[in-house]
Amino acid sequence: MQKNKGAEPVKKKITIGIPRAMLYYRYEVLWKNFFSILGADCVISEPTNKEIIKSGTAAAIDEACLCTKIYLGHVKSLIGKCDYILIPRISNFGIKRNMCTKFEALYDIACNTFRKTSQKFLTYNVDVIEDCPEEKAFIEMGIELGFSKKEALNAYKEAKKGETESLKNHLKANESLYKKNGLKILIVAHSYVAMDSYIGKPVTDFLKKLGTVPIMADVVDRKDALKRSAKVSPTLKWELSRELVGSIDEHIDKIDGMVLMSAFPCGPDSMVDEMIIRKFRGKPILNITLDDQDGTAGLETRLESFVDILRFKGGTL
Amino acid sequence: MKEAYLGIDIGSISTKGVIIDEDNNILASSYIWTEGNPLGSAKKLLGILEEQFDKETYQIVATGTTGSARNLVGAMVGATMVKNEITAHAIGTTTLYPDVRTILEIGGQDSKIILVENGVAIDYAMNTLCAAGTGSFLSSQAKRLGVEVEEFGDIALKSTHPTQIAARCTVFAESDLVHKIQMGHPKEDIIAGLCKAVVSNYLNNVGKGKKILSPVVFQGGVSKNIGVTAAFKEALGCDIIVDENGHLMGAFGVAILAGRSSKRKVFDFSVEDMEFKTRDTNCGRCPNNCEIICVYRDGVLIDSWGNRCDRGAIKIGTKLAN
Amino acid sequence: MNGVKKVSFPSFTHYNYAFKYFMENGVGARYIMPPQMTLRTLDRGTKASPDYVCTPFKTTLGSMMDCLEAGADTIFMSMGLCRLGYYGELQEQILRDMGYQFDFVNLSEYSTGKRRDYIKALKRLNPRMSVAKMMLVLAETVKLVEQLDEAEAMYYKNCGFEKVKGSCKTAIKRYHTAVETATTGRELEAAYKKFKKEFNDIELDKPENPLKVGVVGEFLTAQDAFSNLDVEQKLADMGVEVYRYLNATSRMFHYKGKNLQVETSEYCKYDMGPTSTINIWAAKNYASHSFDGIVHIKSAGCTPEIDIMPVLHNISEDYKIPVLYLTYDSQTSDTGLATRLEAFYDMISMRKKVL
Repeated sequence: MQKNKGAEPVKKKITIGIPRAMLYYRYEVLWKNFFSILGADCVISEPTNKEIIKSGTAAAIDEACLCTKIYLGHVKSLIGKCDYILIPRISNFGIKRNMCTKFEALYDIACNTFRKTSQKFLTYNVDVIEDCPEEKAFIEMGIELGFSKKEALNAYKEAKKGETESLKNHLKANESLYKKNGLKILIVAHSYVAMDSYIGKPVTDFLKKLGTVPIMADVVDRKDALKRSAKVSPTLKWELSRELVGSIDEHIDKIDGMVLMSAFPCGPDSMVDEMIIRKFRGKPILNITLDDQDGTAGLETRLESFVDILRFKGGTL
Repeated sequence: MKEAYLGIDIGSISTKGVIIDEDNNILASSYIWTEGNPLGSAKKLLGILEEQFDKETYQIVATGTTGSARNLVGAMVGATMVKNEITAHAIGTTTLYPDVRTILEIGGQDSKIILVENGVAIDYAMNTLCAAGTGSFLSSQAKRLGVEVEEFGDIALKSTHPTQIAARCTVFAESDLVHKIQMGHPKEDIIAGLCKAVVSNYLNNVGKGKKILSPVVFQGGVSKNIGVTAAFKEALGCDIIVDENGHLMGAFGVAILAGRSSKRKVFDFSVEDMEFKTRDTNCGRCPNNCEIICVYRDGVLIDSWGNRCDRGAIKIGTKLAN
Repeated sequence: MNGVKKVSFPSFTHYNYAFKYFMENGVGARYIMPPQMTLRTLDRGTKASPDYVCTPFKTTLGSMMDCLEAGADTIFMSMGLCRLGYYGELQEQILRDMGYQFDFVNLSEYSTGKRRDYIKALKRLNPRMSVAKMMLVLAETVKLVEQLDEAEAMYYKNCGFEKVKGSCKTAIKRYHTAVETATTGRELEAAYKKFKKEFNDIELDKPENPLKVGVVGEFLTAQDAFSNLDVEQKLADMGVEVYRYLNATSRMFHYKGKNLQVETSEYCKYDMGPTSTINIWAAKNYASHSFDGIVHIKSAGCTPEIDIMPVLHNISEDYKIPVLYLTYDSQTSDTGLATRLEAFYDMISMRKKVL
């Protein structure tokens, strides 16, 4: 079935739909740059809202994690609004640099879930262990869209430059937060949880409202974080978790407390959060599991009392 | 003498019984609370059925039991057919509604869906993990809201703006509910929201990947709740059949199965006067420490179950010590 | 004592015997057979584990505690492609925090794909291990695993139809006992030959066209009878031939992932996870060979197995084959399982009569 959904060479201006969920928060710049350099339009789905969660929940397997449901909701909202919906498969960047198996499966999950629609999906495959690095994957994707190898490679290189630049600026801005006055709370969460407007963002917004400085742990010098994580937990193999653990290790002395924020039921987090709690004793940690409830009242109570505890420790309550 | 078949469905909450003739006509029926005592309630049930039953014309030649205490009560009444409640319900419903395509069922602890084609169940699913959205969940939420669960349906229908409630799992649903109450949502909106949550939880769990075709029959204890029925109607966009005897469907189905089987054993109402005792013993022969349940009739062991291996096997006929 | 360790691997179905054979004869370590898992194993493992972790983490952790109490001084733990690959390190941390003292050899620390690194891991169990001997015994162990898997496949295909109840069980138990005490490849071969003869002589009462059910699912829960509450035995006992393609032989030693992927390309473009391709292939294979049903087994929260469910839904729809989805957590009860299985059996047997 997927075979028929593969792309055909077209020269007219194509529109790529990008779900605003999961790895969008990691690859936003790379994707947008790549497609715009090739002259394609991008449509990004709306920020997560109640309707998206509802339709994603209806489409997804009940036991799947909240982020899968949100993702499928975004995919569904794009169906019929673009030529292709982009869903990469990202397996690993090398040994002990894996993604959660979810990212190996996502493309086929979406194709199987929405197989009765005529929507075409676009994909690329990063699997360094199997000799598919990102550059190769992007070239193949470009060719599938009807561009030449050279056009695709140039677009990738250009897009990658933009990504590196953007990461650098982002990192610089984030690092300056550690020097700010006030209670600094490290938000240890995948970007697709922390940045999601419906589930994670209300948490950081509320922490700001309480007068604290929430800082995203995942915005970090990635290479350095990987090195650090190997020291803290040698067999930890999920790239995104390693960046978080490395970031904690780097910043632990500059923060007052940590909020571990996880979407129910996240596979890697179920173990990594436990390891973090056992390895970084001494720093106050609040562990939050998010589900699709829209009331944040319970959460707010917990966040408030956590901030009170931090202030109490600092003698500023 | 004409043949008749007895079916008993002993659930965790209620005990149901029917006696039917060869043409599946109901000759006697009853519905009482189990009250945590399946043997006692089964005896009581038999007493009520005996009063309605015409012993001059009919003779009960086969007996079936179903429900969570089917083994226990089966041992007590000497059942010729002991069947799980899913099959019993499917048989009962397809007998009454030969055209049915989908059976939705929400009971005290379980929820299930059965898909039917040409009168035969072709696919089914049952709730996998938690009890969110089942009868016991609704009862406990009713208690929290200070209303009787029986009133739920009528109250729900008054609502025009059902509150959205997360019902993915009991723990999340409860904490969400508490906040909704605290935030001052009107009771009828919360109750209507709960009914909708039960339905969406059901469709997202047991109903996932299942093609729900009409005619749809809704049964089980929760089908008495018109709020939930209305929510199903809205979600599925088709008519929902709720049989007035829906609560008897399991007993009815197992009576039919008992009748269909070739096993025959005349049922004698005198079991009402016998003394039955159950005893839990812990095997203790390995760290599994299985809880073995033994049933004694007038002091003699007639059945036992619960052991995971042969080590705990107990001989039938053993006398009850003491 | 010369640095020779008393080692255990957490209990995992009949592979316990293969581990024992390899460790004692190949590595030259002493192997402490993991005690049979019980509810206490699961209970202790669950209490020490984080809440939302998959159930095999809890059972293997409980089994490690059992092993240490049975006299092991070293725990040997596997690597893995999903969360399994991180089990070892977190379990070691938890056990140490609880105060257990032991050596821990975690293959995940050595999983570079290079042979010399695996040898390094094994030398920690016996510094004087002969690599040549170890390699020889490894080949015998692989053969043993194939035979154990084969024996099990024969068992679940026939045990539901034996004329004398318990005769299949007796035969396979006798085989396992022989394997447990064997010290040479020749003894293993002889034991297997004897088992096959004995098993083939068992009188069966099987209809011409018996009910056939295929089992797919998560690597640990689908294979380990304790973890899945003996689901295959329960199914077989109702009078069903039970098939499971997934085992160590098919997934580890003779894995034909690429071929399986080609044969399932109408459902998936990519390999979706560690056991995804093999399970999707097996499900399609059962469906296209007119099996009566498929049972999908996983522990709660198993990401790869949850992720293939949309594919299984489609296979079920395309081939009109019912799939029973079973999710296990530490609370799953025997009675709840029995009710589901009975109903599933009733349904497929009635379907078979009509269709």
